[in-house]
Amino acid sequence: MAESANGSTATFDSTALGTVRDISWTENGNPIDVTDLGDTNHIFEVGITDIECTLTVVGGEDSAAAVGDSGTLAISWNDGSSESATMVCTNRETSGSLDSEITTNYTFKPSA
Amino acid sequence: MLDVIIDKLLADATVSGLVGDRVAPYAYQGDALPYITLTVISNGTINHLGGATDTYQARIQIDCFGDSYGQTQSVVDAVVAELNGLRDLATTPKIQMVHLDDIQDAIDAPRDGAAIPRFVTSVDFLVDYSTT
Repeated sequence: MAESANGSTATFDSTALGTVRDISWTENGNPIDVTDLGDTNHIFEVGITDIECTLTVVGGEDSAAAVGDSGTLAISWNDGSSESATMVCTNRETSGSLDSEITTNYTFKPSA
Repeated sequence: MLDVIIDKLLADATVSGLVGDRVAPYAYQGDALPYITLTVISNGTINHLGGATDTYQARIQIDCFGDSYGQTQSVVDAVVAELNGLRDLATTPKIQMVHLDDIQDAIDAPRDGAAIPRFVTSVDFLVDYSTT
């Protein structure tokens, strides 16, 4: 089984998201504490899930995504697994520092 | 990339005024002093999950040889003045930036029959360049 992240890809609205350096897909169940006095341990139930995907690409802003753009964000991990959701780009941050490459971080969240 | 750096040094009047055309990846036995040799210490591309970009980040070492400390330092000063902060997108490959990273003095074995050693100063530069 291939476990290296190298070879993983990201597309937004069917367009490849350029030179992707880092991918992070987070699903947060927003746990609700439903513990009562009779419980030995804290007990939780899962609320409505939050999903967020952050990507880092090498270089400046990619033409494939801009803040406000909506579409299907699809991640194909190198081990064969995948993620997909209809998402909107909510944040872009481009940065560069001495003797390092320019990188752009994107944040995507689910959209209607 | 190293040939571009060599061309830059040879084209600089101060450098060539000191070492002539003795700027190369190697030196011949008996070469007149001072002279300069260049070595690529490390090199690699900026990579991403899907492959590699066309941008490289290299470390080169420029060894400046002389028959006195003062002569060697004159060559070092000329090399640093020419290369530190160099950016030239018209060359092939394109030089994005050259930065001085380290200077280290050393003493080399004396030439045959000489009473004193050769002086050598190693100057390290970080070179960012791209092939497109």
